[in-house]
Parts: sequence; C-alpha cells; structure tokens
Amino acid sequence: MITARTIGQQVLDRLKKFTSDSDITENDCIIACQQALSTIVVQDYYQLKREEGLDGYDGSLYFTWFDQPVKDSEHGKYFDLPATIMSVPHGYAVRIMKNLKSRPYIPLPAGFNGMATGLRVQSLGGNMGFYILGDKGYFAETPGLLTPPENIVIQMLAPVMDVNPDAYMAIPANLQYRVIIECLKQFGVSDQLVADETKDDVDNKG
Amino acid sequence: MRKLDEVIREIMISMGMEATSNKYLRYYQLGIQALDITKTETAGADYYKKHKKIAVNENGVVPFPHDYEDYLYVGICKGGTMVALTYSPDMCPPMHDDCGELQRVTRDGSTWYYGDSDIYGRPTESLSGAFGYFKPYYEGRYFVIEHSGIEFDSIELVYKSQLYEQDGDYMVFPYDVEVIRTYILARLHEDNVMGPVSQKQYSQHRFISEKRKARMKNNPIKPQDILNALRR
Repeated sequence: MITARTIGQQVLDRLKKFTSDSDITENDCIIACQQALSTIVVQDYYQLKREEGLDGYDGSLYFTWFDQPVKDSEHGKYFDLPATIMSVPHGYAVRIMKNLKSRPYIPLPAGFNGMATGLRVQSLGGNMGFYILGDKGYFAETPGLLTPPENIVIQMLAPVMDVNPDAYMAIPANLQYRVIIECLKQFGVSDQLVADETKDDVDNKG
Repeated sequence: MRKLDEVIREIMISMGMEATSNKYLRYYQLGIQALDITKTETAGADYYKKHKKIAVNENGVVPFPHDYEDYLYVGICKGGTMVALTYSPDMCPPMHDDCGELQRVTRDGSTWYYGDSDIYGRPTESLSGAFGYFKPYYEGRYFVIEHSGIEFDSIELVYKSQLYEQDGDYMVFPYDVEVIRTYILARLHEDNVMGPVSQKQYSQHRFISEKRKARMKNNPIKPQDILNALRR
C-alpha cells in the first residue's frame, strides 16, 4: 500500500539528485503522478487487448465506496460520482452494484433512454443499467418494475485525482515504478533542452 | 429453457471480456436477432405454439393475446371436444354504435349447426353451415366472432406466439444456444472491416452449420415419419 504523496516524494527525491535548484514542488509531483497513472492505465488496456486478447482491468485498480445514496430528480434516479471519472473504453471506469455479492449494473451509452425506447433490447435481460453524464450517473428506464436500491456500492477505476494524497492506494508495485519513470521523463532536464538546429543536419554543411 | 442474459454473459466471459462492459448492450441486441432467427429457422414445430381459452366480449370480438403473432386454430370446446370455427373472409368489419362501442356482427343466412364437424370446422353430417365464423382484424388486434345459432362465451385459440419472456428476459431453447453464439461471432467478424475474409467466411459457415444441427435436434425424426417415407 502506498500513498500518492509517497510516490510524489520519491519523484522529487530523484529529481533532486540531478538538480538542487529546481522549483518543482511536491504538489507538482503528486499531480503529475496522478496524471501519469491515469495515462498508463488507459494504455495498458489497449496493450492487454492487443497482446492477450483480454478485455478489462485488474481488480487492484478499482477503488470502492460503500453506502453511496441514490437520489431522485425529475430526470430519474441518479447518484453522484465520488471522484473524477477516467476516460476508458467500454464503460470500465465505473461499476455500481447493490452490494459486492450482487451483479454489477450494466453500463450504457449516454443516450440509452431515448435510443432504446420501445425496443426489445430496452429490457436489458431483466437487469438494471445506468449511464454517466458529467459527474452523475443516471439509472436507465427499463420496461420492468426494477427500481434502484436506496444505497449502492460504487467502484471506480483509479480515481486518483480526487483521492486524498495521504490515503492508501492499492497500486501494484510495477505500476508504481512506471508512474515514477513517467514523471521523471516529464520533469527531466533532457526534455527541456532546446534543439540545436545548426547541428541537426549533417548533410547541410554546404 | 435458459435466459438469453445468461447465454450472453457466458459468451462475453468466454471471449475474455468483462460482462460488465457497455458492450453488453450490443451483444444483447445481437442475441435478440439470433433468437428471431432460431424461432423462424431452427425451432421445433410446436415450440412457439400456445393454447388459450379467451372470453368473447359482449360485442362479439376476441382481443389478440399480448404475444400473438398468427393464429393456427380457432374453435370452441363442446362436450369435451374441440370444434373449429370457420374462417369467413367475407365477414364485414364490426360497426360502431353511437357510443363508439363495437357492435356484434350478425349476418343474414347464418344457419344452425346440426352435426359434427371435421378439424377445419366444416360440417360432416349436415350441409347447413358451420358452428360459427371468425375473421382476424390485425389493425384492431382482435378476432370478430359470429355464432350460427348456439351461443358460446369463449373460444379456444391456438396461436403462434412471440418470443418467450420471463422476468423481463427472453428464453432460449437449449439446442439454440450454440446457434446464438455462432451468430454473434459471425456478425462481429462480418462487421470488422479489417478482419480477413477467410475468418468471415469460416464463422458464417459455422453459423449455418450450427443452425442446421439445431434444426435437426429440435425436429427429431419420429417412427411415423419413417413409415410415411417408406409408404411413399
């Protein structure tokens, strides 16, 4: 278990070995680590899909919030997302369910209510579905008598941006290493070197 | 029978994906399409045949059941025996009265029924007419029923139904599961514009093959069929 602050401090410590007068703060490093983690998670999806043919994410990357209230509005029942959502394929960013033993509700495209009205697919096999709009999740209108529970469990994929930097995160060790490397690349001096255009073309010496 | 939802989830898991992804919607839609195909092409002769006793309204019409698709037999139960009503294409549509209610159809020349009838409702002992007449009106989703003298308050309707539903889901006959799986694969390969043509042809071939096998399993040969073939 590790915190975002710990990873940020590691990045800062390594940067200090190369330069002592850097104005990069610990907070900068924490934010950079969070952004790097999000990017790596999305990249991993495509790599896993290409190499293994697998679709989905490791469970260690999901954070869980219990007893999140379901609210009512004129647009239907909804819930607030407890953190910033990641943009990942196929609705993997958010899972919601009644409890950990029950089946997760089906993630749907945002226009589901209008698109599927009156079609047989609207029944969703007797299951409940939801779709995300901004920072809220709305439950789908299905023809059955399904109603959402009062409280739900929300699982989100690596929602590090809104998590307290001092909260423990179950990020696998290999992923921690990759995050640090990505951050070092971002702040590293080599990336800030200005290209010398007078020497980049050996064939143009005249 | 199994639920389509179960079949779809098994397919998604077997393909190495999470059944909690929003691809479920697409797979479920493909599953419904595959079910339509199994219903028309592989189902057994009586898989979607339903029998219902339905009351005749005061205005002489019988509404279609909610899952009605086409009728196979319309009759009444008389003395423990099913007696068919006769399809009458020349029956007028029912008129509306001043209150907008449908009026019972009565025709001149309708005669009493005096004897037995065959399975098609034709009289076998008397030439005086049928027990009663019916005509389906699809626009209003009802049958118009006319009796020939003896009143009856309900009909026996044997009809072809839509897909079976349970708990908001559609039901799959066991031999059709593989047809649904191969149909979904064939469609996925077909829609993949970058995929090789051989893969598309192979998956299409598998779908057709599974469809043929399911049709044979759902309609097994009975001893009577063999006898009929030998006597030909």
